Amino acid sequence: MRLLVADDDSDMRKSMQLLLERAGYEVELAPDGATALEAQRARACDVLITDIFMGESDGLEAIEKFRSDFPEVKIIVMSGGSRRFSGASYIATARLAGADAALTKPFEIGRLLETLQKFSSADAAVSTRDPDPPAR
Amino acid sequence: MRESLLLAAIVETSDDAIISKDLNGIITSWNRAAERLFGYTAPEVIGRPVTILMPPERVDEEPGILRRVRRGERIEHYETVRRRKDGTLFDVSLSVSPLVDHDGKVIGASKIARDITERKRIEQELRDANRHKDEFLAILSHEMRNPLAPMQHAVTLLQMADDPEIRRQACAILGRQVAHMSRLVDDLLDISRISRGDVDMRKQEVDLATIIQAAIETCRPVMEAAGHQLDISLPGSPINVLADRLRLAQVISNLLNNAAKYTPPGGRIGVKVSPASGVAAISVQDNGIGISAAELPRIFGMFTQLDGARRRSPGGLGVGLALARQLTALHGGTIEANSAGPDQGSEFIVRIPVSSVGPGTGAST
Repeated sequence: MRLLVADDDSDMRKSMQLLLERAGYEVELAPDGATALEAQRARACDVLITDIFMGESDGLEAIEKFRSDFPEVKIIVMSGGSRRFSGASYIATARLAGADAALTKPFEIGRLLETLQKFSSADAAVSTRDPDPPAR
Repeated sequence: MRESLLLAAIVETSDDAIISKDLNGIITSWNRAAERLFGYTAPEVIGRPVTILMPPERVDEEPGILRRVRRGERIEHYETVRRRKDGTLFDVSLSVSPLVDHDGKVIGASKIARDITERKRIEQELRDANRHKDEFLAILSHEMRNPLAPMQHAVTLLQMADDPEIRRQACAILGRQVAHMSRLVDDLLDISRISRGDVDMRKQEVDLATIIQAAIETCRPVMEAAGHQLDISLPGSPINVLADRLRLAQVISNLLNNAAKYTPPGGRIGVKVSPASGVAAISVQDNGIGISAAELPRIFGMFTQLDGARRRSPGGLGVGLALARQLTALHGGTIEANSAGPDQGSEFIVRIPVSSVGPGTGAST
């Protein structure tokens, strides 16, 4: 499976790339929603893993565009919340945006890997699960 | 007789405006406090309808009030708006009681009016402060969690990977993110300490130039990373100020960091010191995203961030300018912000009293 990771923090992109490549995935990186869309057009990825709050509503817009332009792509959102959204409303927002799964930062990479395994082994779309509670 | 003299005296000397009217809404009495509150003397209003005290859009409150009074009802702390003789409007709280004669028949109403402008202002301030606190907690949560995510991943990499190159990268990530979180925590502690007045200032005579140079050195990596050009203009001879070197340098480096943060890559930042009759003005300018007229008045407030720029900026708590203002005040100085508007750059000017101009006594380290 090819993965597209979108996050505005370069250390987050780097560390996720190292971990996901170790797990055997091909990883494409993007610093924002617009670049992620371009990357998808250039070379199709199977799963988009994106921070939901990069800039004002950049992540949300990207998710909406992905849903309309690339409906087969699975979407996993991740976030530590933002200035406007608390953890609880973040979960609601993620659902509204049409994400297939949601992770709250910081998360154990194992959770992400589990979700990816479910995507690859299932033919039918995975229903939206409850997002993981924040690691304590 | 004695009792009614006593009551009359109480009404006259009360701090509250006490007004009475008949059932047609005509003013029948008017105490001294009412004169002060509304600006009309008693002869000017007695015999006139109470509606002259109301702004046009409130006049239809009167029939409802009179109806309730006729039923013998009291109206407690009814908040509304009234109008003074000079036409100005103000927020008021009214309590209205029916006046009854010996047979228990309602013959009019007595009104106590209180100016609540000040109370409403304080309430609004409290609501704003509460909202700011909530926003700050949301920012804090977000800014603190974001570095934790790559740190968590870096730790996992160190646990799992033997490859030295991967381990090197993981350690580099940890180093950067720890440094970032340290700055956030420092800012948080600073703001908390300064709010409590708990700052340990060690002031000494020092040449302003050394402080500016120290601030520039601190910010040099950020400015170079963004490809900004820095123009420095310092006077030829030393300018001595009585300052805590670290804290004053912190003010200047906060301004330089903001300039670097809020200017697109390849911008120009200028630092200029100009002495003028007992005061040294330190100006930090940039040709960056500027400050809108709406944002300018709040720019030194706590927890402010320019939203649109967040993506280009490394984040932070938004307390840098609030800190700069407080630290400047602790040095007996002032700080101001100017901008021609969005995308037209900004200029911040710090003014500090000068101890002396000429050969300095402070060591330059």
